[in-house]
Amino acid sequence: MRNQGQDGKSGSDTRFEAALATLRRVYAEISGENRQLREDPRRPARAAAAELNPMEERVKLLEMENRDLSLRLETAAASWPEDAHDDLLANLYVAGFNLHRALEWESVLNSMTEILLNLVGARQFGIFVLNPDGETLSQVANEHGQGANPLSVSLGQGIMGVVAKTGIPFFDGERQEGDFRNPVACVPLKAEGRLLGVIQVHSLFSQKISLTSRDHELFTLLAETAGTALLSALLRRRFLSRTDGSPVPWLELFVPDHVVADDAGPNPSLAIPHGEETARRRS
Amino acid sequence: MRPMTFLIVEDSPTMRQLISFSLRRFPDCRIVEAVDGADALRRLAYDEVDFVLTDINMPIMDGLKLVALLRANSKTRDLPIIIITTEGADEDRRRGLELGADAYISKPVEAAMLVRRVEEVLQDRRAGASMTP
Repeated sequence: MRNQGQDGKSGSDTRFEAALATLRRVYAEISGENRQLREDPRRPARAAAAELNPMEERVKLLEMENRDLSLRLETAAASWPEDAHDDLLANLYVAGFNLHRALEWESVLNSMTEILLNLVGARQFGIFVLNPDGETLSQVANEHGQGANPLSVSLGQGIMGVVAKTGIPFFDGERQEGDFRNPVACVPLKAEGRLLGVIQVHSLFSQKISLTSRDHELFTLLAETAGTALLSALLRRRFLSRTDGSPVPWLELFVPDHVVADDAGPNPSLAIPHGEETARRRS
Repeated sequence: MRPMTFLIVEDSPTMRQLISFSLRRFPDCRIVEAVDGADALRRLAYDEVDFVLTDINMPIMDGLKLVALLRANSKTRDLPIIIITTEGADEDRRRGLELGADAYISKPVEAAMLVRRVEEVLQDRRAGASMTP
């Protein structure tokens, strides 16, 4: 005996009617699509194409970007040594240019500070010059070293003293952060092979992991050229001090020594001027 | 075709020179220099500029203020801008990018890296322009 519901229909009747309704709906949909196809057979293709077009464009763009990235990676890998070489030349050119055009003592120190800050990426450093006693070094410029650096260092004392005494630079290629006693780099400043002072770098910018070969080249340039620039600035200041503030008689400099006798002689002493100037600066 | 003009906004003469030297890799480009944000705005008033590279920390008007003003001006709002930042300047970077800078580069600047970053920004701009209906 079949089970009957409240409306008098059995369960199987209900399922049959539901299935029939589904079939009718599917048939209506298919009929509708067939009718549309008969009216415009290209419609589905158009609809699909409309959906595909933006995707195809996006794929094309991605492929282009991919190609471009691959090309750039290949180019970068292939031309890295050239890039590094160009980069080194650019840095050396800019550093050398700025050191050579500085005539004033302060300008030379500013140029050195800019090179250390912007080209090397030194965060904390000090620039020291030899005192007239020839036994101690005094700080003349610093960056983030105020109070942290001793104002005077004896030759032979600590890394800086040893570098100043021996003239051999010190580099710690592994470290980014140090302090006065344990610097990252310490470089002697020389002119004509004689010691004038020392640059000591205590720490580098946080984004700079360690010193690079480019930095070593820059330090070499600073050691030789900055020393000479400092000496030139001292000699110029000494020369200007003789003119009592009156305009500098530049043309005198172009007259041969045997024509105009200079009381300082044609080859002024290296030791006296910078000592006096340093003492004057401190006072 | 008019040569591409870069505006370098930087108070350090050493950095201006290094950036200028690096950008010479772009053939026939023209370099205009400004020492701070206010100076840059004066230059932009009478010079046609295609690309701006600006430091953040500068006297008179800093780089962030400059970026904000450039983006607010209809004449300069689409200029590609790269900000040049120092260490510990994460907040400046974030703020600069928020204000509408296209990219940033950290000091010390490597010439090759700077050129690549400029190329990337130009490429992104071209890609963005081609996507625009």
